[in-house]
Amino acid sequence: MPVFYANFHIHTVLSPCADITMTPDIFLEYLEGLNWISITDHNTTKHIGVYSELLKSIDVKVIPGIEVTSKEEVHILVYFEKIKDAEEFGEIIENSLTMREYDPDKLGYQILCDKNGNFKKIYETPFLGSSSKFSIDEIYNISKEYNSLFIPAHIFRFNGLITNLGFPPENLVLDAVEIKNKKELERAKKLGFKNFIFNSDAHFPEQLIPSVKIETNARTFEEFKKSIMERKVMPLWQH
Amino acid sequence: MKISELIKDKNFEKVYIVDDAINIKNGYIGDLLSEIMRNAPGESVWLTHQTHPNIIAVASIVEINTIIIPEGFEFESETIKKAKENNINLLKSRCNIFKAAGIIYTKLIEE
Repeated sequence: MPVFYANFHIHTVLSPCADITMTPDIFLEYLEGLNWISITDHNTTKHIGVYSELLKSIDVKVIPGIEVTSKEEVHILVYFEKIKDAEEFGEIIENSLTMREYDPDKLGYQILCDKNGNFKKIYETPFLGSSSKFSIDEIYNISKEYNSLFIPAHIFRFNGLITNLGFPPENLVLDAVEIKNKKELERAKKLGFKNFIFNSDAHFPEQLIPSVKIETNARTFEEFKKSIMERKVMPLWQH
Repeated sequence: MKISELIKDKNFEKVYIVDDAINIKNGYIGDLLSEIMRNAPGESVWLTHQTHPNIIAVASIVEINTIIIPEGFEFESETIKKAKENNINLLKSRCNIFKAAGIIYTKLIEE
């Protein structure tokens, strides 16, 4: 069975906090060694289509994703089977963001690319780094109207589920949690979590590196989901 | 300070009160529930912007008896339901969190 090298938490130049070099050109240059990724911008899905299409030329498959900021300021990764579903969900999230106006000089530029990967325009509103008016429970319910995975990001860190909410909300069935190192993995197991993913949360080109390897038949959403549920996502620890 | 002191003050509005004779001995402020679990004192009032039902479980664990949210925020209905089940008082302030804390702090040290 083939082995794929992956990283499922990657920001593009559209995320205000990502480096302005996170353009499609840089992805084409830096993604060597990776062949399966997810584009997970903050509270938007507008770049999934462009990047997925352009990355086909170097045989990198893209799982459609988003990193949502809930009302509680918890960051959640949501992954979708279909780009169309991700884009619809992304619109709902963008429309729910609580900061419409913002100062890019202070908070970072949101750069939108055209279908060829070139600069299209500065995306001025809403501020994609702001939080949704929806609670984590509401976002969960909306996400589950699609074939999707709901995975809280960096749970023990800033904007993490455990940091902000103390423990997992009782009514949510979390598909997995994202953790960063062996110590966090042990801590998460003690809290009762069973499924995990390990990502670099790339905001800079040098973070476009494999963080997991997965042995599976094909790079599809169903295989991605199965690998998580069957605990076949093998971490490649960086630290 | 009895919680009835706070309810009398025009800057606060009751959402759910278990017993207005409950005593508040201390206070704490914060939005990170993991931090509240580590450091908040018992028999206290907690000022926060978080309105998720998890705040009730956290309050129960550290024996916070009253949660107050500032102007512009609303408790979720599930949170109010859980407050009733767990005997936690809920108040809303008509002020921002800094001013609300100042009013409560002043009342507590005057005692």
